[in-house]
Amino acid sequence: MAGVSRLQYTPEIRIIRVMCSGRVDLAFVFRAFLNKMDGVYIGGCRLDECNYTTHGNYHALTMTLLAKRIMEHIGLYPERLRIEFMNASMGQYFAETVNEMVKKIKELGPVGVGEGMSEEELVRRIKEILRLVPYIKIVKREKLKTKLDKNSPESWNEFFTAEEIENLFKEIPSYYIEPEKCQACMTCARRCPVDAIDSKRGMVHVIDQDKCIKCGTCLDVCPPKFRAVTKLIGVNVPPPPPEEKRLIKREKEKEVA
Amino acid sequence: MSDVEGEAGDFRVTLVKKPRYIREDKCTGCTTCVEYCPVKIPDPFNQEISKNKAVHIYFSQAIPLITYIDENCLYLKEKKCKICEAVCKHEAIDFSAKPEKVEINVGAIILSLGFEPYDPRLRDEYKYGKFKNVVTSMDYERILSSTGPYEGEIRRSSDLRHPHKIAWVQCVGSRQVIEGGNSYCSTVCCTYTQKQVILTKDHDPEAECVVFHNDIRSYGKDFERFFQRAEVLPNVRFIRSYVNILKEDPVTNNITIRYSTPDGGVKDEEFEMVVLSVGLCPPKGASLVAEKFGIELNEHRFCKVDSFVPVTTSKKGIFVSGAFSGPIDIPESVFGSSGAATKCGELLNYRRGKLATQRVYPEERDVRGEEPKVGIFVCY
Amino acid sequence: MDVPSVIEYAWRLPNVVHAQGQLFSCSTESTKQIMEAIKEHGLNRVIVAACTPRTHEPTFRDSLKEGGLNQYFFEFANIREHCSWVHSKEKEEATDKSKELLRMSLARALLLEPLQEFELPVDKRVLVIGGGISGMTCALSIASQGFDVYLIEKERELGGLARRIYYTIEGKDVQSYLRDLVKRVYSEPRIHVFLGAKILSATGYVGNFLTKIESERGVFEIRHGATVIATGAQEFKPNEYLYGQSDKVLTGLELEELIAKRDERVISAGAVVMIQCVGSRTEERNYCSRVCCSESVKNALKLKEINPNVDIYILFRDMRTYGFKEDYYREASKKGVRFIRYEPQKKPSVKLVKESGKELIRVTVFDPILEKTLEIDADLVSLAVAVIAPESNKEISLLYNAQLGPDDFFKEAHVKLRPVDFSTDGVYLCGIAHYPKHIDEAISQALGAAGRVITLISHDTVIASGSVCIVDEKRCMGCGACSEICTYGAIEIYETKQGKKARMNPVLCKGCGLCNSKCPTGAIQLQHYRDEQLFAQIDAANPEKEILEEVKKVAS
Repeated sequence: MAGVSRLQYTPEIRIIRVMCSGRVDLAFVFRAFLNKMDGVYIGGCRLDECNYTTHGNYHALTMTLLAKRIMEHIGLYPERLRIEFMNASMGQYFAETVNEMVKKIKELGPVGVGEGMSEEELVRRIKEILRLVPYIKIVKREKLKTKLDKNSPESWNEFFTAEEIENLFKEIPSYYIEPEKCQACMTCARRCPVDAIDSKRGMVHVIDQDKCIKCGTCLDVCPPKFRAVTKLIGVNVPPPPPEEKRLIKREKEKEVA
Repeated sequence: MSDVEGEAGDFRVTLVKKPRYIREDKCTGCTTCVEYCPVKIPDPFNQEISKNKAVHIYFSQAIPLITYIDENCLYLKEKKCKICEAVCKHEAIDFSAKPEKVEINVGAIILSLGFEPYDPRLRDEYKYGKFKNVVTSMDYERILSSTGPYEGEIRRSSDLRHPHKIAWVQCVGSRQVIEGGNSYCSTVCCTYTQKQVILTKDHDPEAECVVFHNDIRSYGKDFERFFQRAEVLPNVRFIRSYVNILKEDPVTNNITIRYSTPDGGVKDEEFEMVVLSVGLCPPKGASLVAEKFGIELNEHRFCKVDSFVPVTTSKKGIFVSGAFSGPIDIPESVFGSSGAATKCGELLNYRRGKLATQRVYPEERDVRGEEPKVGIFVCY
Repeated sequence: MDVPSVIEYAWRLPNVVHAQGQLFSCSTESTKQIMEAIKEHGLNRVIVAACTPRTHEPTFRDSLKEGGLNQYFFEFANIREHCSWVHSKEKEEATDKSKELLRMSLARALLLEPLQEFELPVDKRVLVIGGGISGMTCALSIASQGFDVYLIEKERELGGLARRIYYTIEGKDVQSYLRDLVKRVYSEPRIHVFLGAKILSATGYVGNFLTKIESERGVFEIRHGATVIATGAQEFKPNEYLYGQSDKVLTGLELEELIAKRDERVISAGAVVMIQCVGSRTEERNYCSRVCCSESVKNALKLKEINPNVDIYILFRDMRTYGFKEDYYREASKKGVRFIRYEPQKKPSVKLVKESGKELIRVTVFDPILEKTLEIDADLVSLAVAVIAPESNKEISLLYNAQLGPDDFFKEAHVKLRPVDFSTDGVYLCGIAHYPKHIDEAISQALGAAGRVITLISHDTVIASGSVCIVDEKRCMGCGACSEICTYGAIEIYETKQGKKARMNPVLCKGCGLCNSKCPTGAIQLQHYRDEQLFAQIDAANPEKEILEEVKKVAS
């Protein structure tokens, strides 16, 4: 509507089309900041007027609130992210909110620079968040599903608290395979959704911590008689055993031999 | 529509297409001609509240999104000007255009003539056209619109100020057995007024809105909840009373309304703007259409329909949809239209699909393994 | 905007083998140019930088098809609504922005994949659930256009609620209309009626449903391409105003029956009171039942006709005789029917009294206009009770994924634009299953539903979009975050040797992509809007990096 009505607004914004605001992934937001975008504006249908029956806009809303808190956590101004709900006839509203947001962002300055952060530091922090997106989605899954009360937007801000996000990052787990328990059955490796487990036959399996998305599948599927996978919180993951010590000697095999 | 002949299954309709003086195949909708046109006219789409040019795009979502030339054009009236022709880079202006006669052969006809909003000038007591800040709900609808006369800002015409205290008067031209009024209820006004109140409060949360009504008819699906949504807004009052639009302040152009109070007394209250919730009348030219198509009208001059099947007219092969069958709201118009269409289907089923041809596309090229080769086309 | 400079910029982008300006890209001539360019330059991606995909995407996709290219290799850069029109005073900025939008589009275009729209066969038979006026009308219209209809009714006869309605406010005879309708249904060979029917199970989707029913005639499996829900509604039975305790207190329909049968109690009644909004417009049922005001006026007029001396009082909150029915309200008023308004917080009350040996109902009501409390001794009290959704709606809702609204009536896909469709394709609704309405309105809606059904089943196939989600099973951890939010029921979690995995039914997927953004591992992807495609578009907004080169690497 802003378009056909030729309503004028400030030209800084670049629009990317998705079919539903619910498609906007937490990772998209941070990917934009990683690319030096100074702000992200999410436009969704009016609440309860979703074109799909999924009410994706409510999900976009909770995602946005979470992202804002995470931004605060890593030292970015949460005002750089904004979500607005509108229908096709609200072109004026779109133009106004875009203008308002761009004005606000100009006051804040370029992303990172405005926050007094070096570029290196900014990139490092955002990349860390991007790495943790799967973990965040898993942990906050239930809460992200909440249908907030559309009539009290003032309460939205408190939906995720700074303390909660603090804890979220304090409790980041790591999964570790104890070399003495692993029997190299390959179950975990087969089931790892991101192929993060090095699993040579007869060799102690090792989780590549850079690839790991912390979903915990390995912990769930490691046969109970081995219990080789452990979840570590707040401690460093021990280094993997050196290559020569990864060979497993199975009692049974020895006997047969 | 100039002529109809034939019968169900084989109608021959003659249409006369008025010239738009713009070549649809050449105009790109760039609106350069609008910029240069020297003739300003009251904008018909914006209820003549704001001005537009004699050449203009009817409204921002018009299809096709190109201009037409209004009869107030200097050249059409006095053979002067033609500036538009000079500035159009696409040679799209065509003053030689003549009315075009089109003959079509159809098996069935659906009449969707719509309705005509009630004209409150028919009764002096509404003071429409006399008091500057008395507007109809159609006027107000445009005023609320971002493509409206004030670009979405609520202003009043007397001084272009934002009115903060607005009254709505319900049943204007409806539910009255008096000269110039309609005896029936127009069905949609209660709810559209509530919508206008809600939108007004969205624009201006401080606004004071008063609706004078006589029964709130929230009879449709989810209407009751919608009414409650409007009713609970701060500074919104729904008052059950007939009103008297008393006087206009000569300085402020504010309007005083007299209404009765629950205790049996009367009260005068001043408003900055008054919106008349006008009802629905039969479409203009209904009688002429009825005559040409050989259908009957009812006592209210809407289309007479079968009392059980409201999409069926008194003539075989001619169906009706929308408000021409009587005042109805959008959902009912939409399903009634679908119903009229299916009635045509019943009538013409024996030759279904006879006019359709299958599109055949060339075989799809397998592009696997190809380097991306991109073609870019930029539209001027 | 400086279009030549945008074209010049386009030439400088990687992988661009052709770039040109067009006066009006969507014109027949221009689309032909696109088609020819595809062939001439061997294009395998096409970007049109013009207006909005909302109106013109289908046109250009068609050009690709005509050019022998998969239509999903098309990408739109909206440099009009998103740029030139909204920045018309900033020519330079608008030109720069257009270039960036084009670059972003190119990044995405490089990663586009060919997708197939699949054609699903459409079963031409239709299931209509509910043998009331709406269901029968709908079935007759569909059958008369050459399609088979299975009409199932839970009762042992057709007619539904209309069996209890004798005349309309306009004075038309409903029973004779109904008899005629039933006769037409039975004499239509394409309509197969099942009475005493119960739905045991229902599966499938648009064009291909399978419903198992049990009826008087036994158990049947019905295959059908479309489903119409015309299950009607029922009369609310109140437990106030002495209803059920005194035979002098009736519902509107019960009174109508007495009137129709010229019952002695009606003929000799001295006073009749009608109380409106019984069970409607309350906290529990926060809706207006729409028909009751007109129904009471109708009964009042009929009563006056057969018993001119009767005093009639209608106690109302708002008289909602909308449309032409207003004339009958006025007529009733003229004929001496007294209309007394009451406030919901001062509801009327009734009690049984004996007056000179005669048992009467004494109705007490506060009249806000006279500002006094009135007492009316009535021979009969008629309650304008709510029209309510039957309990069974919940069951049917689950069977066909047909949503219910807050009052348990069926919820249409869009109030205004799709008032007889469900958001689930291939399922339609009509009549008072949707909301209380008068007979003519129900018939109009039933015909509307028939029209929608015909639109579907007159085609041999239905085309489903290629832009739907797919699951990469290897990446799926079976967490169920996707299936729990998909209200279309398109995703199912099932057991495999490798644990739980998500499985997609592409026919049910509507392509919103919510599951994609919920998935922690990226296992589920909305095709045409995949993570990497959107990432590429985001990255390309960054003017600094040599993003396009990176995207190119991914693409190849």
